[in-house]
Amino acid sequence: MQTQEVEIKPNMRIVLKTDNAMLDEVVVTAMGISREKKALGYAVQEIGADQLTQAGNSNLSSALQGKVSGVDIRPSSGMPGASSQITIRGSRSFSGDNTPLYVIDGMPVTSTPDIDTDKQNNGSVSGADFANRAVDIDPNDIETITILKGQAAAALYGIRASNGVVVITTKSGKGLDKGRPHISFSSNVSFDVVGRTPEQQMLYAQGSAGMFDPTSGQSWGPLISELPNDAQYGGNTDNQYTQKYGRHEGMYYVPQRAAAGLDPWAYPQAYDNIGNFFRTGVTWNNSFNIAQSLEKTNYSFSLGSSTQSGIIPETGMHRYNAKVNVETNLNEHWTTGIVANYITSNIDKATTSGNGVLRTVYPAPPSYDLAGIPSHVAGDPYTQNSFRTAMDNAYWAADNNDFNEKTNRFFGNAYMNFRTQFGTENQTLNVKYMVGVDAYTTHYTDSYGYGSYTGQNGQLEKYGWTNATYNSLLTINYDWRIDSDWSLNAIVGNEVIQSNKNKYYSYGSNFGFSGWNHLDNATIQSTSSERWSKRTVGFFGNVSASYKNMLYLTLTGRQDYVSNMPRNNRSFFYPSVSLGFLLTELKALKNDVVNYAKLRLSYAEVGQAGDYLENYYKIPLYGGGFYQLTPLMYPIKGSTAYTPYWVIYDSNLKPQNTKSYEIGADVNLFDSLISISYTYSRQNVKDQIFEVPLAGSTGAESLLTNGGRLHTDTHELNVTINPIQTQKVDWSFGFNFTRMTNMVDELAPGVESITLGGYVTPQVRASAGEEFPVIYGSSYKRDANGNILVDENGLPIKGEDAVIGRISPDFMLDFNTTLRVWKFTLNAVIGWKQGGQIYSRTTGLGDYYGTSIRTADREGTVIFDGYKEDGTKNDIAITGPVAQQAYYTAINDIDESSVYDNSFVKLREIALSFPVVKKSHVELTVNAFARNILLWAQVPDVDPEASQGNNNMAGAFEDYSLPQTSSYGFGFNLKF
Amino acid sequence: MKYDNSIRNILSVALLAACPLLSCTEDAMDKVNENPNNPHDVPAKFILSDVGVSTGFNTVGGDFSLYSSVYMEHEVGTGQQQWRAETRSGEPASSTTYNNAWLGVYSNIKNAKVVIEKCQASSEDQGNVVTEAIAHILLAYNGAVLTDLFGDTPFSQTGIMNADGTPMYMQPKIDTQESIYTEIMSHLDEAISLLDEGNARDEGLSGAIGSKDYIYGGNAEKWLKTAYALKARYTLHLLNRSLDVSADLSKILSYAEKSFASADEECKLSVYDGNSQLNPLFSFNYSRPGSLSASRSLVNKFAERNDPRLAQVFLDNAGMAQIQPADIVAAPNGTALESASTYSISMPGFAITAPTQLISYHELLFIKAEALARLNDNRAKSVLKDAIKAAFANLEETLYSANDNWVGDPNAVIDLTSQTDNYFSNEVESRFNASPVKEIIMQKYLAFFGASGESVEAYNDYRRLKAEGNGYEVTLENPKNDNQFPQRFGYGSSDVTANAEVKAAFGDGSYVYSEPVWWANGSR
Repeated sequence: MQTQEVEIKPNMRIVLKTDNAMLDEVVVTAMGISREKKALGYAVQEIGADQLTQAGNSNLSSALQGKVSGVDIRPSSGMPGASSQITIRGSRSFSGDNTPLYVIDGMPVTSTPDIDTDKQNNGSVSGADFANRAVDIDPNDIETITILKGQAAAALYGIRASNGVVVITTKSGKGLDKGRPHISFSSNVSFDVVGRTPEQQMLYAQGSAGMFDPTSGQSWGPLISELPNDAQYGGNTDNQYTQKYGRHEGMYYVPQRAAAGLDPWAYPQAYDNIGNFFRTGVTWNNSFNIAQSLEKTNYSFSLGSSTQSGIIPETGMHRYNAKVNVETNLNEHWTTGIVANYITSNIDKATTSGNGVLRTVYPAPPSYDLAGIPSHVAGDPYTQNSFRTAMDNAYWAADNNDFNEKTNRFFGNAYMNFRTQFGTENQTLNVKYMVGVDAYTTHYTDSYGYGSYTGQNGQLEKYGWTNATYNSLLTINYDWRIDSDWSLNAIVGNEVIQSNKNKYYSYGSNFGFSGWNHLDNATIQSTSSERWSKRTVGFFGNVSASYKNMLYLTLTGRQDYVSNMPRNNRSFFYPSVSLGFLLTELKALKNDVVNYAKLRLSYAEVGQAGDYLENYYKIPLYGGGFYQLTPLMYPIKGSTAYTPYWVIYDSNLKPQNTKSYEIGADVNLFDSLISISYTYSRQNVKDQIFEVPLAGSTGAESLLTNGGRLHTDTHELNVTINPIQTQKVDWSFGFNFTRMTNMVDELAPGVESITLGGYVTPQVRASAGEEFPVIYGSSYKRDANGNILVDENGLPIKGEDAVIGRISPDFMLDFNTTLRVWKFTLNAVIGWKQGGQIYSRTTGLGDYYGTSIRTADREGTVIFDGYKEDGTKNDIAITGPVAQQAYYTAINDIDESSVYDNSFVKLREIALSFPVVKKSHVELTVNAFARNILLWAQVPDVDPEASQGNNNMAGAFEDYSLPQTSSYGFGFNLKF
Repeated sequence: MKYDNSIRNILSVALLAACPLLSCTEDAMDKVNENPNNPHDVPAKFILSDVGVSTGFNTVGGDFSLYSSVYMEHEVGTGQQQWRAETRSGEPASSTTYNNAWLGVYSNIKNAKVVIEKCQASSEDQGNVVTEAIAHILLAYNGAVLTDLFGDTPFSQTGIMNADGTPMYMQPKIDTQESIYTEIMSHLDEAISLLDEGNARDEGLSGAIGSKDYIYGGNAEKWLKTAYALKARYTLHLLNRSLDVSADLSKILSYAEKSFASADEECKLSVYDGNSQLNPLFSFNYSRPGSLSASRSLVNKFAERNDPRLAQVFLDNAGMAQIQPADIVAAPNGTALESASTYSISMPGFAITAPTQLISYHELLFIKAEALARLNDNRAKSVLKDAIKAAFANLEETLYSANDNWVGDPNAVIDLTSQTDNYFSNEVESRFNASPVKEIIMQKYLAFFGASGESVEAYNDYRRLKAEGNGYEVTLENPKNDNQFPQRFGYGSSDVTANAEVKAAFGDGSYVYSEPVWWANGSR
């Protein structure tokens, strides 16, 4: 029964409400099967709606952060719709998908991005991010999330189970008290401000070697206060400008002000270019739900909207969700229902990394008024005016470049359920057939306007995907309580998944005239379209037996047939076995301290298929490398060419295989005052499918084949303590601890590492014998003892290209707490990630450009922490601005100098709520919240949770990555 | 009855399960996995078409030429990779430096081999002898650039494939430069024989290559002349290893005789229209402005000779022509600042439509002049003059392209060919008389400055003549050359990581400074 608070009245009538969750703690497991949590032989973790939305987060993946163990969530930035990489218990594939399967209301839905930043953005180091399709999910409509972490838990999903499953149940009318409609409305607004940004020096002007240079990308010039005395531009000196315009005491001549048509003479001052650039973003989340349970029918109807303006000008997101969910009992045997979701979203983005907008904001010289000086020359909006060339001025980019994605999506399913007890009391048969569809189209625009430094007189790409996945699922579920000791459950089923994709792509560049950035105006055009189909047919079975509510054994098997593998290599069988043993059911072990103890054991095998194709020819492409444009493009003179595609497919490809072992225990102490859950799991993955890089001398670049092994070891510990439980004060807190090692045991013969993204160097790679993944690039030259060597000037020496950083943290520890005092409830989530490294180009280049605070002490001395060739400790002092500039230039040339410890502690969420009205039919709760407001990080200039790539390189490589945000907001929930 | 009904219901649902069985047969799955987006096979000429383009763009005009121009001081690297190459800071000894071009040249070799294989074995392509001959020539061409730069390197096992399209050799073995040259020569001979004195025609079912050959439109005679020009070039490359120098010099002359009679016949890729197709050096400069600056060493050489090019080929930092030599701010070789705003820049770098020369008429004349001069034949002088004239004409076209399409400076002066006679009689002749070979080489070196992708040949000449030891090579000014002259290019990282033999041969990459290639009297 559910605990209730009732007002004391002379006449009391108390309706006892049933609460399924409390009675036997049922969780939703694979294929929508509800199970008692105690019966499971593997770890699952549940998150409820309150926990998910306590801090008003409209983004599912960041709303999950800090709330589950064994799960690593790596957001790319705090921008609206930013991608986020979720992995459960590490990675199993070097270059393939490592993110979990999402199942919403019984049906798998697409959650991965269609566009990989590695492919569209040259190794994830240019262009704008691409959202994951999980961005379409509105956290406000979620009732519960169950995370099936291990392969045994997910085994019934067969080939898609290897990365775990996120099972989402949305709000429905089921279980409501019959009769009146329940309406809930919640709304919140939050204000997003930029999180961590580099701290800048405010003393020195643009230039190099102590000399002012108004077009230099660097800030190694003279003191800003000395600018009026500059020989070439100073207003106090005799030069071409003072000759022409007369002396301007205390001022200096700024060519960009002249170009923009302003008074060219300015008094020197330092500008907060970073602070001026970011604005306050505003997010509005509204959600409305009406649900009702009638005699035979229940329904739920939800509407949600999330409107967000980003902290960078011209960025934002609009998302609207609508969902209806109806179920009706036709008679005592038959039930039918539908769930239908429609989502439309529109995301405006900004570029990052190589041609990112921040490349002209963070390195902007403090002497240059980036916000105040127009970004184009007077009278010509398409000729840029900036402190440097070659990179689009951020303000100009906001006006002229456009990065957008628009999605329309429908997913839902219809089902029939037949249930009979064969006229018995102890046998139940459920037959359910469901068909579903997940269909969406996303249109992307990547547009660099006329006058941009990317492309040639502008460049426009318009492309999109139409993706329709059909799902047919039949499950036959038979339950038999044989006698008071034994019961049996058997399931057989079939699943057919057919996925059809269509892609169109059009490219245009070299606009004929300015002001019309449209394909029609492009003098270079190309278009293409592609389509693919994929089918998976699976047959599965599951048998569970339990004895005396004490021993639970489950066996599963699934046979999958997949289309995207070579002929005669398409079918695979995956078994799993799990055992749950409730020690406290043994009479001898019953005691007052340990009120519940369970042991879990499981083993499973699952696989992953590759995308095999017969070898083919393709029109060769030119570009990449040094080229920022497409230098050559077929057709040439009306004719085209074909060459063998640079990826070769191995016709003996077989599925990669994951063997997973899991052991764990759940213990509740002191009448559940303390509950502890621990799980150790080991995954051995072999026959990885990946594009094995070939020696270029073969004439091809890579071979899609099986190779390599990796393994993961994961320890997860969840502790929940509820030390104070009184009517006035209730305090509980919990920890989620995760320690994961993800080792690459072997790649392919002769292959030491493969690239996941980045520049030529540095890159993120999978490297044999190292944890997955690593940072690879030029290293410091070291002596035999591993000491970093310096040259005769006391500067470090560039050594060979090597592994220079390891990304995996030593552990992650999240702390959650809920404190209720009287009616006030306070929630907080703190995340701590210890160890691991990140490559931060922003930080390194801040020193190189001379903008970082570390370069403020130029008259002072730097001694590099290294050793001289003769083995003695380096004591060569680098003193003065010129020597310091040379020093920062030298270390910037060594990638390893920009690798930093990535440990951090972050206050992720803090939320306070108060029920203003709490009556039986009306509830109004108001809340205030803040997210990401405190951060202690080892990496100096950036937020460790802002990085490049919507793929396996996520979290490793920071390069003018868009920042994280801190949010402050408030809202209300109204229920009646 | 209820009970019976439910049984029937179950059965009808079970029928649904039979349906999926039909949807997972191998044939059904094959159909689902069909690739509707790409062809599984194409006629040979469609492949060869790109071998020509990629040879021009990647092998000749791309990164090899870019780095050679820095080492040869046609340009000074003043930004990023080029600056590090200039200052010998990492780049010359790193396996990533040349990897993109490495992949390009090996892909060309594979594709040329695929074409040859198809022309010999595929019923569609059999009889397309011109197509096959061009493939032999381009295969030889790519092989020669490869071994000239990398010395001993994989070649014979590249592009040999199993029936399913996978490579037969995953880690192709390293061949010696000597054996690669033997193969190169035999491919050229094979091409010459297939071209049948220029009378050959494609007669296979898939049709003649025609306009799919962007270089000569399938003209057998012109390809024949190219084959001879290349034989001349490669025989010259091997001069240090010649067993009979004067016989080889005579051979060079006889090859040159059978080759181009004018610049109209030279072998070049001229598809760059300034719109969808752009000169590779232009594309580089556009993408990486400030990475290359005017070379002090080159400026000095021009100035020494009162060379008319001096006042015509440089731009100031704002992109306007510098017609007064005194205004030129040349970057010091090896010690330049990493700066995009300090130095003058070369105008040819903006020649958006300038063709890439696979082998130019002026090069052929320089080769001929050198052979004549070495044989003490006094015709060398007039051939040299013709060579300079042809080179001036080529550079003029380049400068026009740059000024018309990009620089747009009405004050720019472009006038070279008309000054050939004066220049020759005032500056060149006396120097030629003093040391014929040395002046020919100097003029050839100056002629290779531009946007035609000829710095690699300048680099080959330099190493060949340095090894010969007669001081014929041009003088370079980079002080780093004392102990860090790149004797060769280092293997591409794709092989250094995935080919054990190459990895071992590469070591830490420092061999590039110490080991000349075989034809420059090295051992590898």
